[in-house]
Amino acid sequence: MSTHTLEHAAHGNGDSAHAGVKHHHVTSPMLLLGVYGALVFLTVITVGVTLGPDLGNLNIWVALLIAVVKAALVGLYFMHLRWDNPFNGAILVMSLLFVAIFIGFTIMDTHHYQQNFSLPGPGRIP
Amino acid sequence: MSTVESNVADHGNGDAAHAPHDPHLAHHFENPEQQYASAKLGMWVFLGTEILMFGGLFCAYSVYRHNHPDVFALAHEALNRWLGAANTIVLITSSLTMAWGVRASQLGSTTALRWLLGVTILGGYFFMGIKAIEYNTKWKHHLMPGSGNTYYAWNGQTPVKGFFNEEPEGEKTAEPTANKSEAPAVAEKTAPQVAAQAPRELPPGAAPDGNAGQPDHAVIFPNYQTPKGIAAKFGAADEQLKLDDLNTGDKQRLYTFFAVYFFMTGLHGLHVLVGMALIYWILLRASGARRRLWLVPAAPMSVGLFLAYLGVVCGSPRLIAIGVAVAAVSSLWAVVRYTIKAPRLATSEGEFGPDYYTPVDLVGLYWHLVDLIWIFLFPLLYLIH
Repeated sequence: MSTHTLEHAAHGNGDSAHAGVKHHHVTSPMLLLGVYGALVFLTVITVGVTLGPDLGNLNIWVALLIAVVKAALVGLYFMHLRWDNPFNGAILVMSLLFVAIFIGFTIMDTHHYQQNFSLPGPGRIP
Repeated sequence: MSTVESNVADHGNGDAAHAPHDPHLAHHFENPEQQYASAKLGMWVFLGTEILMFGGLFCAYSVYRHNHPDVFALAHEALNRWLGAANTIVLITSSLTMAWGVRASQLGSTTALRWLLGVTILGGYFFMGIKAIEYNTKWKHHLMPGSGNTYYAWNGQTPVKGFFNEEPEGEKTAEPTANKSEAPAVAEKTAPQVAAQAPRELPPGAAPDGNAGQPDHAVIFPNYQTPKGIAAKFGAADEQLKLDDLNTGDKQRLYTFFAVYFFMTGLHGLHVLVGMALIYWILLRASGARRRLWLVPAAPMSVGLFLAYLGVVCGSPRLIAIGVAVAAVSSLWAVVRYTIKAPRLATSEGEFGPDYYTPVDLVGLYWHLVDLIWIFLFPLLYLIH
């Protein structure tokens, strides 16, 4: 029973016969370590970029791009989304999308109106 | 058990060899696979709401940074990016051990699962320890959220009024002079506007902050060993943003960065604590310990938390530190005991194996989400250029 199960688990065969227990994908150690190495590398890069030349407005976008790549690695491999039901990944993407809409519209709003009530000078604390 | 069997019979699943005997299958699910998929979907919906909750804080961050970029660029210098980077590595590492733990439970290797879960919890301790160093330093620098934040800059032993060594514009009004002797009490009770406008005075009996302008360190140096305040630091480097580059409003608004910092990292830290507790629960179940023993480590932990609570009530930082230390050590002792599986504790094999590892998987998802949020918090708070 146990060896049979292990084989199924290792191969990720969904059509196992017994009792409707479907064995899911098992991430291999090399893949886990590879993803871990990539995450550490990207952390070093994102700190290293701030020690280097100033990129002006690009700074935050570089930092965010690296963060998104790291988040994608964690989501796809550590959180199993690559082999999961796509609907689970859709929930994650949709919630991120709605956060982006939320922040985007708020920024547009404050960008237009903040100047009307936040003039520099003493005694003007938001 | 009999109800399960009759239900299965009703649904006509005669070919299920051992489904009726599966102790983990709830009666309202057709089969373990459906139960697993439903649980996972529910967990992902919950994680989606978590992201939306943090989204509110990220929105506050974006608005303040968009409107006052200089405040963020200057105030973030008070954070130590190396401690932040260390915490990032710690969380990534514990994410790796958690993902490996899920793999171990899928393959049925219970010993490996216990050790991986133990190491994962240890990562949480490391993270919260580094966080405690950072918070402690900010507390001693008076870098608090809200109007309690008095970002003094000291010129030697002489208190200088205003933030960052800057004399506030406009003449002093009569009220702050009268309040001078009871400055801390007033700062708590007045409205934020009034408190922020009033010139900052050294609270009576308070020692000057010799570390002003220095990022976090594990050790708060004595005054005579530390460099000058933050104004001196920013005056020295030409290409760096100086305090004088900020307009008057922004100079008084530096506390907003620390409000954002404390609320974002505070909520995240709370999630780390919850994640550690959940992984501990998984570790207990994986060790096959008798359920009655689960509460034994809770006794010293409660004593520690109660001492910390007393410390909060009495305003004694030492009592808070002792209480937190008692709670941390006793919980760590429990984690180690269940990880190495002291023979006295175990009555059975662990619960998890190839046929049932849903809790390990879902708690792992939670822990990865905590890691995911920190991946965004770290560059946004520590690495502002």
